[in-house]
Amino acid sequence: MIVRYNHLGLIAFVMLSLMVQTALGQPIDSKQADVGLQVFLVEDKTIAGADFSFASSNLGIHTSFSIVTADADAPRHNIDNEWVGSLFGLHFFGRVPIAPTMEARIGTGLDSWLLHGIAAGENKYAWPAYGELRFMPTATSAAFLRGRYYILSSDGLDVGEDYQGRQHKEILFSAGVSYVF
Amino acid sequence: MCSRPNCFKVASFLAAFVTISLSACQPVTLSHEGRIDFFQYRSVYVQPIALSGDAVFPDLDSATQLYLINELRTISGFRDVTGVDTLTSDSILIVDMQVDAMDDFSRQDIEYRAIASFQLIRHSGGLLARGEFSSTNIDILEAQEDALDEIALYFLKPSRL
Repeated sequence: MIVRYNHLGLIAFVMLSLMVQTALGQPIDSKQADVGLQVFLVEDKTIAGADFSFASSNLGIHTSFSIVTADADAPRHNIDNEWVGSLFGLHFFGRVPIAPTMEARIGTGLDSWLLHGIAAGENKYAWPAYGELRFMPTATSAAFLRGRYYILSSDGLDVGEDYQGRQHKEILFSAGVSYVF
Repeated sequence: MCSRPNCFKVASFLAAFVTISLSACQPVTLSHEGRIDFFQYRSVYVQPIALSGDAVFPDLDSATQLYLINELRTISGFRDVTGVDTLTSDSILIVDMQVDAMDDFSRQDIEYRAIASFQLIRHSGGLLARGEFSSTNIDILEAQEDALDEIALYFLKPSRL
């Protein structure tokens, strides 16, 4: 089932170190909850949906739910539907303050690709490490850019591989805006 | 209006944001490789399902056979799925299903566990695939259908997107 485990130890070490460092470091004063919209920056597909997070001082929890559709001109084999399924993510993160209006978040968790549009029960899972750059121009708004790397993933879930099998960068970016309260 | 340092910061961030966003689109490929060679084994004859267990009458059941045929026609890689042995199909799917009732005294419900074991063999003989799936449900029909769904999913057609 699991196909990718390169750099596993290194990434896990760096991620844990950063999270511990974040947790032990100077606390960020504000608790923060936000609800927003997220769009994944992918080719030949549209992946977009809702994004929620709650952050308490240095740590937080993040969840997202996105719909996955195939573009009409996307190359495909044996898949007729445009609706492919959904992507559900549940993550924990640490907060790293950069400036009063900017922070980075580093986290990990579980991504579940529920591909109901292909067949009910055809699910793929991944263990991501992600980093997020977050800009807060006002007290109630935020914009973010998030990049995630799959440390482990199910067979057949290939980030950075195109339809022809050519390899590109294995980082899945998403961007979004949030209402902060 | 924002102050000059703030405006510069906002503009810098937005410029970086747009630049990265426009250049960051990466491919994501979702694929499934078939468990068997569906080019070689294009057709399958599904035998009537042999039921056993304490929750059903031991029988060769055509209703569950029909359910599995429909599921295989919908999602499997077989081009031709039939419930009648015409001797021309490339393979034969043999399914045995055991359905047992399990008393849950704490909930006053009866749960049913369906265990479906299957073998796919060449029409000329020889094992191609085998496996076993189970499902538990308070609805006996749901339990049986869920176990059969897993068999159909096992033979999911190869796909790539």
